[in-house]
Amino acid sequence: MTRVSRICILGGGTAGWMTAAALSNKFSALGLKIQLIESDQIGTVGVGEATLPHIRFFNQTLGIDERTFMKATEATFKLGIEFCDWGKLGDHYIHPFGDYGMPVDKLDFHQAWLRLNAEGLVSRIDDYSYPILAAEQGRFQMPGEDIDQIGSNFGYAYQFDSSLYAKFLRGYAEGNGVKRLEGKVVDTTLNSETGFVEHVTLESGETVGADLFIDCSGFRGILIEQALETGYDDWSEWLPCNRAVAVPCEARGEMLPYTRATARTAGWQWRIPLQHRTGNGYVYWNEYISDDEAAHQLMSTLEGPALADPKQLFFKTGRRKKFWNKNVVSIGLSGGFLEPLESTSIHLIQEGITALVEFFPQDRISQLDADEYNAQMGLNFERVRDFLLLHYVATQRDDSPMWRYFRDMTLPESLQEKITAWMTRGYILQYEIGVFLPPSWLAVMLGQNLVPQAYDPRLDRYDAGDLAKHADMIKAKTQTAVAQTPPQSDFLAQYGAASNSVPLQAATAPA
Amino acid sequence: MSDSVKTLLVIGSGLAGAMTALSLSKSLGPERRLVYLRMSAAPESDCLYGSVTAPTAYDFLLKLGLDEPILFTRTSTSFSLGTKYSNWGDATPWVQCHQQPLPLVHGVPMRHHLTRQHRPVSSILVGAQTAEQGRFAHPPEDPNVPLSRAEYGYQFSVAEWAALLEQFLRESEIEIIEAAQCEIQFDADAIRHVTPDSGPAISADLYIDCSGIKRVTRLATHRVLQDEKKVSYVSATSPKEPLGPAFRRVAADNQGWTSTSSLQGREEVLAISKAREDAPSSSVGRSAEPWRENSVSIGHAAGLLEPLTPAPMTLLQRDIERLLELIPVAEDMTAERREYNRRFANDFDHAKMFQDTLFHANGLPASDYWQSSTEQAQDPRLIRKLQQYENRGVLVRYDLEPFNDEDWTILHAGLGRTPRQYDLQTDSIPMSESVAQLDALQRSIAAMVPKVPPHHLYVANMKRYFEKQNYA
Repeated sequence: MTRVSRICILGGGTAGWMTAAALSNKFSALGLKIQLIESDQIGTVGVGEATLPHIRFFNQTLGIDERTFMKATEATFKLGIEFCDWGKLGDHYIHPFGDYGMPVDKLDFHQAWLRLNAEGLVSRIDDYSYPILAAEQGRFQMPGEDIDQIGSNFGYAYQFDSSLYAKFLRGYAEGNGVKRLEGKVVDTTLNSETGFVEHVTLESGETVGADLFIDCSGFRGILIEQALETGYDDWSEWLPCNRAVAVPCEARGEMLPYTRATARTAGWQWRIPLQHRTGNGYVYWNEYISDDEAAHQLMSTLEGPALADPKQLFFKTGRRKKFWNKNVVSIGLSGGFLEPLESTSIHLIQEGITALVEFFPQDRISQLDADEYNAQMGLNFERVRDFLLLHYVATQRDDSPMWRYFRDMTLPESLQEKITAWMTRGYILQYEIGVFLPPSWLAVMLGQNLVPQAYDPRLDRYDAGDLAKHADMIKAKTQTAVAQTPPQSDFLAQYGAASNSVPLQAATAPA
Repeated sequence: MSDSVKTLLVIGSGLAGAMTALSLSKSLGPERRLVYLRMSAAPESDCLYGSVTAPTAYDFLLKLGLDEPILFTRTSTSFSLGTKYSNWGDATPWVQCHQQPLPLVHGVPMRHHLTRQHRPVSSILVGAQTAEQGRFAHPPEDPNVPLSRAEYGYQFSVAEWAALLEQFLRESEIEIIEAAQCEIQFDADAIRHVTPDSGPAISADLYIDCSGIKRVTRLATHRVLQDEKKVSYVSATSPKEPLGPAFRRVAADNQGWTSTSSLQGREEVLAISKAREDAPSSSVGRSAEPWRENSVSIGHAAGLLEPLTPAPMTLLQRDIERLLELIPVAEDMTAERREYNRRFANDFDHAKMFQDTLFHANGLPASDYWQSSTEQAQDPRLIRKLQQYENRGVLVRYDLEPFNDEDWTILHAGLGRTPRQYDLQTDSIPMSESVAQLDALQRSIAAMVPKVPPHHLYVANMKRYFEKQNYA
């Protein structure tokens, strides 16, 4: 029995090096030969600089020290995402990593809030969320042990420089024996019988063969698409934004523990604060705005001088028909693309890696493994898609053709049912598998002014005054906990995660 | 609050009727009127709820006021660590016990270590071993005590629980109308009113059908179930002292299977076979739409599974919980109805998959009952689960299944299903280390089990304690 032992990862961006790091760690005992091909001449997209709390688990299982990692990647802590101008112009809310309030006899807090809100007995729901209030005030501390305590019942993620993260993981993976090959792939050879990829040929003429190829070549999908012609499910009908322009700039003001996504007339703009600079980008639909205009809008709204020329990206929302096809597994942008509105790009890479580790082929490539991998990843993508689309359709905006397009859209049934159930009675359709839990749906729907017509009638058993007291108690405790939380920059220094690098400055910064 | 859904009428009797009415009364606010139209005779088919619950019953019963002092002093309830399946085709008899999540060993799920070491799952199941030896004690909180990993449900008598709940109902303020029969007036598919033979017509905003397999709120054309098969059932009870073991016994035979539960003072026996003339029978399967217009069916009125596992009680509980979560807030119940039906279908089908796995055993008899059962156990979602487990020990999961990873692991192992491979990550842990860890776990369980008291003594002592404390 010959083992699947030669692994070739094509592409060295975030996806490539995350995969290399994980495989070299998890299967250290198998004696795998892992090679990664990348070219210094091909830029990486740097898919996302903001992450979800799950990334911590990824780093932990690799035995990565948090402080070392944060310093190396200029990372800041992230408590959530602020959405500006989404429900209507002038609105803003934070989607936090954590639940709101505390349940009333196992009934969801938000239901009590809905009842009290109708009677004018509560303030905005954000006041009952520790991560939101801490984020708003630029504060951060580690969650405590007792996750039911206010001030501990939240998760956190990072905002980091993804090219530095890739570099960091490269060091880690090479330390585990992963071999990096410099060069561009110019040809792919398939087995004439099985159609499996046998080897790729580099510009230098060198050929690299493997039993399993991981395609991390980005949008091009050199193996999964160019060689295997796997096909793509185009989801542009629902998420039509198809371009982005990105640029880093000098950081200004306090270092904030959250990402910002501001809705624009033809897309949305991100702002991601790192220790040494701020990342910015504008995701847009080219039907309604020209590339020049998008770049101009981005550049004219930067908080500080740009640190580079704006970089243009092109994409099509959707997913590969098969993430795993024959002996090629696509991870990252080669597998599919969903705009980084909820920081899911790196997360979907992580899901792809976790599933690959679980289904890693042993003696041969098994169709059963590939089928299950594809089923699981397909569901992940689909559920993220619905959640992203929610942001565009849970809105009162109709001030531009793009917003009117969304207003007139027929939603996927899975999403329509969710919105209807929410509007009817504040009920959130639950699922177990998928990244966004009920509090996330709640945050976006309430944050974008979808106020349900009714609440869970089981709350009627309680006296409104008693419920209001419960809510006041939570609010007071939340405020106290936030007041005891240090500013993020203090915490980073005290924790030993400050990079202490000099903040980047534009070469020709105006005086 | 919307005041358009004011009156809820529960129609039925027996366990489902009493449980539903009582649950609603504890959840509704004062502005709603709840009426229980109690059809005097409990359905004969109530015995098909089985005589065993899963561990989730504990919290549910507690909310209804059924705590252990009451259950054990006022009914013949006993504990259940699981179900033992015997004569199940070629499988060696095993106790399908309830188990807390099995620990990860060096980050890798336990089942892969067991596969790698060719070690039987039962060797590390404290619940199964305690049950086999006829012992029982409440699992302690302290995670260092091996017994803390066990979980338990109850063995019980459906009729007794129904009677107790009805007594609670009579002591409550719920409006109860007794009737032998009732007539339903329809307006197209919606119910206009219900007329009991004992009094005037009652109209309600929501009708809740707990009439069991009579399905009184359904027009004949809507009584058809999906995946229908017919079975006959015979139940009997016989005195037995002392109290038997803390598990239910299920044994297959040529005609079907027989379940024996050990209750205080007696044994309850239920035999299931293919439908025959000389015994009551029922269709098995589920309704496509338990919530139609303004009426929703609960328990057997919505669907029925043979009580081969604790699923029938779990499904009844889930029906009630789902209803409580979706008590309509306006005359238009479309959102509630769609969501209720969606979740019902998932819950029922997921529970059925677990049961159907038992029909995939090797060496089962070739008689009609077994053949038709196996033919109806081909849900593609189940086939995916079986293939993935056999391939490499992967537990495929669907959303919010009633049976967890441990239940599935124990079931697969019980049926003698061994994965072809285990997770490759397991190999990065030195064999000696993983052997040592499982040895230690196995030893601690083996050392602990003999110290657990026999089930009958434990229950007797517990009851003495309750009496001394003046509980119940």
